[in-house]
Amino acid sequence: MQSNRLEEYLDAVEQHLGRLPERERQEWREETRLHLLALVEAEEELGRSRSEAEEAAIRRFGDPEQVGSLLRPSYAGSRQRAAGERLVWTAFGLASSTGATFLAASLIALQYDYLRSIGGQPSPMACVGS
Amino acid sequence: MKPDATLGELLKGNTPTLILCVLSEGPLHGYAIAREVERRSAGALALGEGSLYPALRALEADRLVTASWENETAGRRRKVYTLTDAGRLDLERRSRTWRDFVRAVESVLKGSSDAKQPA
Repeated sequence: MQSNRLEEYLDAVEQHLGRLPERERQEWREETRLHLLALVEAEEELGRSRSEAEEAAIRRFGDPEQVGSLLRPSYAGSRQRAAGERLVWTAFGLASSTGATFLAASLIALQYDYLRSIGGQPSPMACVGS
Repeated sequence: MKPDATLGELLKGNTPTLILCVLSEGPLHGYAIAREVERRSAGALALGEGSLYPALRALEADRLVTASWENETAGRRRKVYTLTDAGRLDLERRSRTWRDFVRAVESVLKGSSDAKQPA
């Protein structure tokens, strides 16, 4: 079962971590959550209640802003890689849509040429999107 | 009690060395690394959790340690850090540098306590 207090703390640190690739964000949360839980268990063994142990574990881990700010630069490479991947996919998407537009325009032009050659009337855009 | 700022600075600068050293005896997860440093120093060196993970990520980026997820018996999985060959070499280099530094500081300290006060 996940503790609300520990999840709130993770949320607070995450605010200072900056945007991370989803997989790295999930892994960071899991690793930090497990570390916090181990600290909670150690505090409970000393006789503290669950809520006291959670507060002690959070205090021990440190101020969310400081923890997030210290960790943030170490994810700079991941952020750059993710931004690079987004750029490649955007470029791919643009290239694909440009290619599709070119294909549609060619088909319409062919339709005009064909109808003109057989003396019919073209029906502009009739096939596009139908 | 106010924490000793000098000790804090020394600890900060030597956190990678301490991590590499405890990993030289086998793979460990983050929590165990922090506790092992505390145990070996009889509690004198408390590796703050907030500085442990940035240091581990930096060591991973430099390929001095590798990280992998391993399943534990209780159904939990843990991220475990392992020293690489490059990490072992780096640890030897860091250990030498630290010992040279300690010797040099000791020499200065001895010299200053033995020196005569200027007239």
